[in-house]
Amino acid sequence: MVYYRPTGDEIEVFETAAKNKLPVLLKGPTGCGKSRFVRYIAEKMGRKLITVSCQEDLSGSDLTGRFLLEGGSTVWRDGPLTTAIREGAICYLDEVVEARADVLTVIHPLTDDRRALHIDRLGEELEAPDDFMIVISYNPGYQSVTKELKESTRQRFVSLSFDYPEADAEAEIIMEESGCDADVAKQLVRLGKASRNLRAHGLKEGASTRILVYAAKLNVAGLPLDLACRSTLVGSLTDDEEMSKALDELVRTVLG
Amino acid sequence: MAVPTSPNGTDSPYVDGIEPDIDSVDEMLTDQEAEDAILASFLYSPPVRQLVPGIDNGTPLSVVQRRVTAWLSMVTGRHLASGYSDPSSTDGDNLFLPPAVAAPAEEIADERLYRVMGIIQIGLVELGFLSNKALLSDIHKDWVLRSTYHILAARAVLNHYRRVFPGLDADISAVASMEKAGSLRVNITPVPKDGLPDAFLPLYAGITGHHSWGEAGFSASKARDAVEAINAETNLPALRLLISGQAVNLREHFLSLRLGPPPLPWYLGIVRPEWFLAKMGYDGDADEDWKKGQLPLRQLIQARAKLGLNKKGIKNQEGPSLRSRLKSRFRRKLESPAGAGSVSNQPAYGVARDDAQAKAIKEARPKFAEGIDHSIFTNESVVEPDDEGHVHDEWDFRMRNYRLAATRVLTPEAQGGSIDGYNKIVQTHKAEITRIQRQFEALRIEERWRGGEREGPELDLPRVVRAISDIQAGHQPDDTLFRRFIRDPQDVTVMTLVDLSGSTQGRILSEEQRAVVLFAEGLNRLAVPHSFFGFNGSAPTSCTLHRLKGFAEPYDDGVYKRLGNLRAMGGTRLGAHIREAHRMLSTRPESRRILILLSDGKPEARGDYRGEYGIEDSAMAVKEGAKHGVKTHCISLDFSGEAPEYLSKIFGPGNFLVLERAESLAHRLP
Repeated sequence: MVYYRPTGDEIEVFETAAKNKLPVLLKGPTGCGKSRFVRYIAEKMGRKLITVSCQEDLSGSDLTGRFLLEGGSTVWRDGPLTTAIREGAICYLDEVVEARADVLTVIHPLTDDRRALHIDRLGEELEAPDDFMIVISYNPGYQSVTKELKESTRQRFVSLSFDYPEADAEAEIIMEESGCDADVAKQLVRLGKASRNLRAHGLKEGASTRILVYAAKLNVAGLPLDLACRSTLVGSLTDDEEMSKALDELVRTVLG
Repeated sequence: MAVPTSPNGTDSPYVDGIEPDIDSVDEMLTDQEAEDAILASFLYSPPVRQLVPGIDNGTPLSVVQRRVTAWLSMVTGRHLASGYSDPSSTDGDNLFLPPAVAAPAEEIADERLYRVMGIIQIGLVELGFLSNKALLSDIHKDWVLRSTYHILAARAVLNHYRRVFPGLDADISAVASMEKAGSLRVNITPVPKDGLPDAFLPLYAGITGHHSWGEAGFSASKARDAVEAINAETNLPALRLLISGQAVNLREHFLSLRLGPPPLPWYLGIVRPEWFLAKMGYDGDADEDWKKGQLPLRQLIQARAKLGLNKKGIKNQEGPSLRSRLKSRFRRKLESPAGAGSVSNQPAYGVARDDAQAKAIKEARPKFAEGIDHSIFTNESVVEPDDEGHVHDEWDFRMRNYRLAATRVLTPEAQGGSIDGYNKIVQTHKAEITRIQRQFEALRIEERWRGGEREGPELDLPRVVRAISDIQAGHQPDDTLFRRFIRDPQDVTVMTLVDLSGSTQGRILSEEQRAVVLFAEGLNRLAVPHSFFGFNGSAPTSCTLHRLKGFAEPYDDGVYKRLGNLRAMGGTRLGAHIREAHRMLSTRPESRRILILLSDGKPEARGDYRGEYGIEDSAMAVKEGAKHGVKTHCISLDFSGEAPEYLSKIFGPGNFLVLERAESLAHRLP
């Protein structure tokens, strides 16, 4: 089973929402475990998970399905959303604010008491089975005037806020994911926490749990820890030379 | 607000080394007025360590400031704004570091020194050593207690961060052994290292490399015990109590030995209890004795007052009042390139710094400044601002450093005139406007291919295939079958500054007037958020951006009346105007921010803001904007022939255009 360490009551909330056939919205900074949580909970609940990474070319019909030419005839192919409905799966739209507006229009009927999808090309009204669930995620830190989740959409979802785990929990995650020892995990957590102090004060984001796990993996694979940290944290957090130097110095300060 | 013993890095604790004539305080001003006046005078003083190349200066703070500030924020979790003070200090919201350390300049070692100075100051706040009102009140009144407490608390701070961050141990040890870091002083007065009383020596063990507590005799035992106890304690609440108690004990001990305050190594900085006390806001029935200043000073004032003597022991003579002398000094500072001088209450960069500076000035000079007739500073008419303006630094290339808070830029609404001015230009320049609009439409602001469009120059093949499939299946196909380059108009914003200095009067102004109208018509067609401001003003504190059209303003009669009636006066303090424009642009949500200047010539204004000075300051302002994502371009109407040389210096090659006539805009736009 995929590893996930709960950081609050997110599992209880999610399962209760699922029992009541309510859609769920996950929000939190990059690399804090949103997608991992969805994988974990789907496995825990024994449901199939269909993940769609949203981007600006993704349209509503990409989600529902399309006719394709096969030989001399046309064949309908379900999109991921239709497939999820037919199979009673969890449909996870990752970074939903990146998608076009018509994607949200398509999913709206699935997020209220109708729980239905109308496929106009097939002339078919698909009723979602009880096991079907829609989950969306986004990173509030990346929102802008042009990429903002509308209030009307947000209020259709049960909301779960994620943030980076507490120090002990984060160290445990890093150890579990990378196989590093407790001292290394503790140092990485301290580095991550310190870098997050600069979030919105020079860095767009602090170090994610994911990037800390990468650093730990490189260290376990034989790279010295300071080099592993510089290759992951420093390089990936900023292109600003001065901020890079500050992060470099932070690595030295924390690791000694 | 109390009269601060302001850090200024000279032997004298006073601005310019001139002690305010405290005798006059009783004669001319109320206590509160005197405090406000003297405080204002301190705040408007120039930077404490003037950076003259080759003269006794190590690495300037400006070289390492961003990364040091970022590092301190990450390590301590506190986002303190930073400013200048020598020695280092803090008021809890701002971290003040020296503008330069002493020579020699060794960037790595000096950066380490700045970091350690910063962490001591932040640590004193973060670890709660400056949070007890009663304690602050005590150390405010007693220098022996203050110095003793400071040196013990700094030790605890260093011990704490050494334990938390292994890498800091080596840094702190290295700094402790630096000669320039360990120079000793009492308050800001240097003290020789030789001949220190034995009783003090243990205080320096591990903090500076110049003293050995092993040599200390019997009288040092109390300090040794105190240091050992502090080194052994790791619990913070216990440490706070321990240090308070030990500081009081040691004070008694030092006084019994007829010793004064133990001198502090320079890098430990200085503690300003009055800053914290002022913010804590003693309520009415609380002890406000601390506000009256330090006891010895007060006693001295009283003694002198009784004898009718001034500070030199000479009978007071008739002369200008303190108020008038301060006014005069203030006026000189405003007229100098340093302008408003050094408001040390400064974050490192960006909008936060401007706001902090504005706030500092506002708070620092209420009574003093309000009593001044601004018209005596400038021949220009007094502008009634619709805001309080923003304060900006000015780059002095000779000092290789900023003159802090040297300029203030106001942004009032420009005066309008008849709407005919605008309409007439539109009517007589229809052809040019059409061309410019076409040019603007062709501007590649942000283009990329996007599929699934209803119109476009190319077919979106996957969607076409899908549509054919739909048709064959007997369904209505999707009509989003094309792909095209798209521009995202919301992702760009344009601000145009028009030079309205006196030198444009005449032909250039009329050329600018036409250019503004043509621009406005083009930008209106482009439908991106944009604004127009006219700029002028010679005196550092009366720089003005006249709002012709704000970002949020639609094109209405009011805007047309302002755009069509430009008026010229004053000089061109270009750097200040560019910085204010960058500040305004930095608040815009668009990711691409473009600043366009319409100007007639070199940046020149009153004083020495001319020649290299103006060019270098303007060039630095352009670079600052670039760091924050603002692209600055200039369209020059300087026909002198020397324009390309200095425009290239200011804006960089390729970022300027020299026009002979406004009408040629359409042909010359990139």
